[in-house]
Amino acid sequence: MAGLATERRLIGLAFVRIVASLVALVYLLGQWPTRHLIWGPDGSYPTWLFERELPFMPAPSVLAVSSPVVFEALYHLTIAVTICHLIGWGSFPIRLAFAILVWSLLRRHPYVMTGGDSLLLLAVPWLLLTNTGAYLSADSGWRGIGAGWRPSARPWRALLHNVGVFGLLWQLSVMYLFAGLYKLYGAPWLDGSAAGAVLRIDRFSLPGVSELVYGSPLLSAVLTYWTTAFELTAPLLLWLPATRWLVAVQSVLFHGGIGVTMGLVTFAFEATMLQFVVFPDTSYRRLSARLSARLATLVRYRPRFE
Amino acid sequence: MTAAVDGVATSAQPLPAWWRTVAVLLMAAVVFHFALVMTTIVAPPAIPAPLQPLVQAYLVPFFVQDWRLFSPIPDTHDYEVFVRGSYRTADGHATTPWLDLIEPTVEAVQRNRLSPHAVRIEILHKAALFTIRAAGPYGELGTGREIVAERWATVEQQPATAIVLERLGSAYLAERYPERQFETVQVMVGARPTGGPPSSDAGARSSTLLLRPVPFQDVRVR
Repeated sequence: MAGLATERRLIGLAFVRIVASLVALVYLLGQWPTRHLIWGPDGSYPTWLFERELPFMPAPSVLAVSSPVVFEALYHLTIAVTICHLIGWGSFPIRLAFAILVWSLLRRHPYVMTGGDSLLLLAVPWLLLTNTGAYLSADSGWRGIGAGWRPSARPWRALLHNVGVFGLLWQLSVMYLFAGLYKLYGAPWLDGSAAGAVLRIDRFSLPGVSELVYGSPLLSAVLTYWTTAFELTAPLLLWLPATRWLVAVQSVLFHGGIGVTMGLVTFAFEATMLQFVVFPDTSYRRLSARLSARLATLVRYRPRFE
Repeated sequence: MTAAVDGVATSAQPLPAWWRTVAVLLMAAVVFHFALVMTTIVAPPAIPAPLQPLVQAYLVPFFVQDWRLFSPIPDTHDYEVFVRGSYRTADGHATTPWLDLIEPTVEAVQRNRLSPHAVRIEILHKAALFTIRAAGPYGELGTGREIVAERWATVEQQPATAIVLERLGSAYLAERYPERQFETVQVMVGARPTGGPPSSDAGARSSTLLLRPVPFQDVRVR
């Protein structure tokens, strides 16, 4: 109980803040040339259509405006707020503005969202309870991972923060649990053919790589069963100190593989970013200390070319 | 005297009992929240009928979720979207050939995984998939597809997905033929089982919906 009186997982949350901001910037800057087509009032999903469908998909968006000028202002405000959020400047008001604007951006066009975007938006309410700016941020004076600073005891703020962390870990567990459970009801996932079947789809295939999987029943089976096993075991293993590293490694391999072979790059980042919260601050400090020592050794013994 | 938790020195001041009570309640609230989320996914009827509107109001839209990621059964179709437009000429009217909306974006993303076309593919793929689904069983039969096309003859009667495809198609035509004044846009949506025969005849596939031409959509791209 005493542990809840101090803010925990601050370093991991800083990384989540950074990755979430970068994903938002990928959307905002990557689609900047065609922003009106994707999200504008006269684009592919015009405001009149958004309003028509709102009773069936009740997801409001502040970007659902009729004026192109107002849309431009809000779009560029979203970019500015996201940059502030990325550098960790502006504390809670910026975090709230980021939450509202990124929610609005992704919900403005219902067919833009991927499963990773869904996870990002589900994480946002919990992230609002947490302090994501204690490290690697302008607000903290760019406090590094190895800094000697420790959060002061602020019981009520810490309680709220740790409730947010608890919620994020639960959300991650729920995602993996149900993604895995649904697979138990699908014949292709039980007979080992699902991975190959998915990689045959043009949209999700990478020429030269996908054929290796769907051309090999063995490789397809290995990937299929590993996917299911990973998703079913992760909800428990990520809570245990002895096994959370295993979940993190598998997550990077699994989602990284999806990003590269299936082209779902933002999904890969979004699905992996919550893994940062799984590890306590001591883990990051230990890793940072080891890497610093290794780097110092390399520098000390570098070959001298004279 | 202090204790260390996660390398953090905690206060020597004991926490008041009511803080501990609130802490337990908040943690329990989180567990209850996710129990509710899981119940709505696994067994929605388990929630008493009088409470369902309340639960819906609480969960929708910020917490509702569904993690059917390629499961239970992965959808193993390649979706195709073609568009053509008719325009006025000195001799009357002419029509462009069918232009493929999806294939160029797929190729762009296969060449570069960081391509901004990834968003376009997501929209096209979903819009095509949901348009085919919206056609329902009628979409499986030749006569049925005629009925669907007739039912969706005007923009006002169309599902949102068809409107999105027509608007994307209009934008694509306008960019491809900037000098032409288009009057109508027509979309054809198909679903081809993966590994099936290549596209050779635009109108002859088993799940191809040929929508009626609608007025060319004035779409702002940039």
